[in-house]
Amino acid sequence: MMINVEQLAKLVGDLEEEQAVQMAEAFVVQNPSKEEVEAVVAACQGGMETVGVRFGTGEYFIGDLIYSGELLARIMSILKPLMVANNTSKTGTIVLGTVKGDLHDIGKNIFRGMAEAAGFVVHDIGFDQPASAFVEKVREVKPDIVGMSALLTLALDGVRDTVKALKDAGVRDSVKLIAGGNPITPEFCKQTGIDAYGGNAANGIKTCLAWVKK
Amino acid sequence: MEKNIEEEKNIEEMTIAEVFEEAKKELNFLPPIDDVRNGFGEVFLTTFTVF
Amino acid sequence: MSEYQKALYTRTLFDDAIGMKKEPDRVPVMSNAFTWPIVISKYKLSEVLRDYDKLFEIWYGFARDYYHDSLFDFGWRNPMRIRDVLGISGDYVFNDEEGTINHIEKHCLEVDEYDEFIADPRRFMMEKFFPRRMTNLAGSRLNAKNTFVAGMNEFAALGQYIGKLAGAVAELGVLLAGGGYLTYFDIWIHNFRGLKGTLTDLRRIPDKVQAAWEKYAPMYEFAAYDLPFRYSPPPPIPPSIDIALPLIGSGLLSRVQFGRFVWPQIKQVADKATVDGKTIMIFAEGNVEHLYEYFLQLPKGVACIQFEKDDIRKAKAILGKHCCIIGGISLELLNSGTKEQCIEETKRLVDDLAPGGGYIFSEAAMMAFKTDGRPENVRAVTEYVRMNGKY
Repeated sequence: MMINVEQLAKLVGDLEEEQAVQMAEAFVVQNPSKEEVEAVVAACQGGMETVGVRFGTGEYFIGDLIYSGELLARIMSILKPLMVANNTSKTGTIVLGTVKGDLHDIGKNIFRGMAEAAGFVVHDIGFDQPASAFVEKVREVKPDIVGMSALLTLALDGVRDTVKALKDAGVRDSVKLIAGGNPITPEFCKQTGIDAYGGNAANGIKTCLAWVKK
Repeated sequence: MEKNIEEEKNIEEMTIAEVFEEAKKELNFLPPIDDVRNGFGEVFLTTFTVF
Repeated sequence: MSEYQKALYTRTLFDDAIGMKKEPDRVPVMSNAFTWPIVISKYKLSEVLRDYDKLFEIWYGFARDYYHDSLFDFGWRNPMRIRDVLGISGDYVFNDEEGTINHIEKHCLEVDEYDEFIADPRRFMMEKFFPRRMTNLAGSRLNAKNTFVAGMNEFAALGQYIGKLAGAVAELGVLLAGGGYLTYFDIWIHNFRGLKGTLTDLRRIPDKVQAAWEKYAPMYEFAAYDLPFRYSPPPPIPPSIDIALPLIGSGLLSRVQFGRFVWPQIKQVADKATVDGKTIMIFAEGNVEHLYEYFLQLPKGVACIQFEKDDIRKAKAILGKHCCIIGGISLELLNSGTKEQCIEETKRLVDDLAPGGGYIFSEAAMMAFKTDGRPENVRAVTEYVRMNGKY
């Protein structure tokens, strides 16, 4: 291995951006193999899992979580040419959006970054999206998973509406549903018929990976 | 009339900071005291830095 | 009792609660309502926010119809007329149908402009920041001048509205909260660098950020603290609390980052306020339990802290001997509970939090939407505290 993946994972988890970036930059110029690229992406994911765990224990706060999204985005942009060139096989497809009435997208964007790092193809339909927009995209790309983001308590109605619309359109059973954001709780997900509670992005990705590997 | 045109010409050569000084001269609801007008101006700018 | 005497009585309730030296006559009640009184009225948000007569009707009505001792927002939070004139757009997106408001960030400082800002912050503010923020300054300089004049005239009109409201609600024994003072972090995330930008700057170029704040401070301190709280004569009707200090993004920071980037400024303003005999209300969004070690370092008797997502009984247990606690009744309960359930919870809160003083009752979070509470419940809980909150 031309890169110490454990070290990279640790640097990402520790939010040591400059050192992690240096490692990634040194790595890409060495013409690595497809397997090595996949190992590096997995290391980044591992680092983000650490971030998730530390957020859960209260060591990291939301500010750190948001920053980790930026750090990940920067490393992924360094690795991107390699991933395209190596045509790393896609893990699965996700349709992702913030529901109607809500313009918040930071959490959704962190989830997207991590999902792409994990090899998912993500169709991000944006924020303030009505249920119909979710349905349309699901019909178009036939994803494995639909992810709904909401930060405002008011937007919980938008989540319910989206689930109902997917049912009415007859596509609900062809996908797995996951939801995340401040007001989303495991109880809410259960009541609304959502398959999994997203929690923080790292946990959400874990769930998604488990689904597509089945 | 000529004086007005002259003033307008000068104003177009001003920086925004200088324009703001000119604007404070026209606050007719305040007494013509520099400290009062300057203070009001500062509070205004600071308030609308964030709001 | 004259309106001034009523105002003084209410001010004393807040002073005693915050001063921590004695129990006040009764538990004071602070309102946490923002756009709620508007969205439950017959009016649309966007029509009220631009009309001081309607704003007065709404907020005077709110003071009259409920039992709050102080209003926190009373129309200053969304100064739409002034924003319209200055061309400050896109800060908020209002949806009248849904009754929702969403906040959008703006960046008026690019990451490669820190050096320029640090070299001459005043110049940067005037020549770059304000033209970017106040889009109607564009075009001719004459147009810019007229925009400034119109903006300041509107600002004066806002001041007149506030003065009129203060006098009117004082007759009801209700006071308005005082002037705002922000942390540089919160100022930065709102219009300088945005949330993501500021968080990444603090990691990538922390020295530059701190240098920028240090250079900005004299300008800010003068206008936001010295002028209103040190050099101006006291207003005819006192506010309930003098200085409102919101912690909006600051609560997102880890304790280490908060300690480095935010706490020093808060400590400094708290020390100043102690010298000047002013009171501070720290309005903490989110959960700030990780910051209690800092609150314990505030000078005693100068600040009260409004908690949103914290366990308020835990906050009282840890902080209660040192600073006054504000908070209480959850919006979920105010919206979905029965009147009896709301009153029962209010009784529990008062019984648990009021003894010894240092407690101000309030709704637990900012009330912005219709679903943040039912009027009969808000009335019931505030009335309960008014009638039963005597020490």
